[in-house]
Amino acid sequence: MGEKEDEISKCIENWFNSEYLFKFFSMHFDDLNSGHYEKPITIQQAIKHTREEAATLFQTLENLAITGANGGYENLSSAFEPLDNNEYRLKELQQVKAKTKSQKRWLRIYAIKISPNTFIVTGGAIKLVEKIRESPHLIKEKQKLEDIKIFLQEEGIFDQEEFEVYILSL
Amino acid sequence: MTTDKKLDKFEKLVSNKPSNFLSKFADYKKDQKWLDKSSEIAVNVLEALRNKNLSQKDLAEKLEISAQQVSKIVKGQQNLTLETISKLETALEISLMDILSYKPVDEIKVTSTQIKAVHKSLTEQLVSTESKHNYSNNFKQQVNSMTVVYSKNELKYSIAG
Repeated sequence: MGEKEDEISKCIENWFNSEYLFKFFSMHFDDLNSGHYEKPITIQQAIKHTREEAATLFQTLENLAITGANGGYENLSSAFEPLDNNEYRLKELQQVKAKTKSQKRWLRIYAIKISPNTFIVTGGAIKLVEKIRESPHLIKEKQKLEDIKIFLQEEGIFDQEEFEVYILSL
Repeated sequence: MTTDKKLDKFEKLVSNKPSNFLSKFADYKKDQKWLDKSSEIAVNVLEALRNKNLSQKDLAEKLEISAQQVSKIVKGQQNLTLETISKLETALEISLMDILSYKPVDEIKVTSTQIKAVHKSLTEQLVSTESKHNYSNNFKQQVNSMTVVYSKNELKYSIAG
């Protein structure tokens, strides 16, 4: 038996859960006030900001997923960008991240891109530091991205058609 | 790889239930107003518990409610009654809710007019003082963003933050 919930549902659960956020920001209080995100901020303000940012991010994903599925001009690709900021080309099974367009944005949804409107979400995180390697919970998310990519490669899934054939074969 | 093995490997990676992301988000949007208020109360409760070195179990005992109910309160997912809020305030010796006193609209309008008049007069005084002195650009920028703050029947001049 696998996970109880899919990764994006877990993000919704956690990012609207005051107790989870209170624990998270208490544990990462130094990162929260390290100066990476402007001036010092209280846990209460951080929780309020997270909820607002999460609502914006999920709304964007919902809108784009629907438009994309209906063949509209915009699709989920508009929300996701390469995980590596120096990666400018499209790659097979590219590791990507979604974030809001607001100035202070610390929520991330990580995924593997299969096609312009199909993404396998591998997890989400609150990123309070500049680099993934600076925080263990972010390193774990990066590892999940790597694991899923290897799994897809081993199964010969590189595009939408192969993905659909695989799902139907199960 | 056989289909069984494939399935096994796939199941270890994913949930066996279809994503209910959209319905969860729809639920949040439907109740967003009270959920956001509930969240703010939850954070205050969590801060108070930490400051008083109390556990959620202690709080459940004080309020004579179940641990599950306390868990829902601190998650910010409980549509709290006034009775529960009052009990929380008493148990934790904190204030969670202020009801603003009623004021007729006409009275608010008169106050607003008075504030505008004082604002105009103070701005004129500032401009006239500025012409006599050589202030820094930073100070001038702050003057431009000045606003009148009306607080507890007292007029104060402050820099907008």
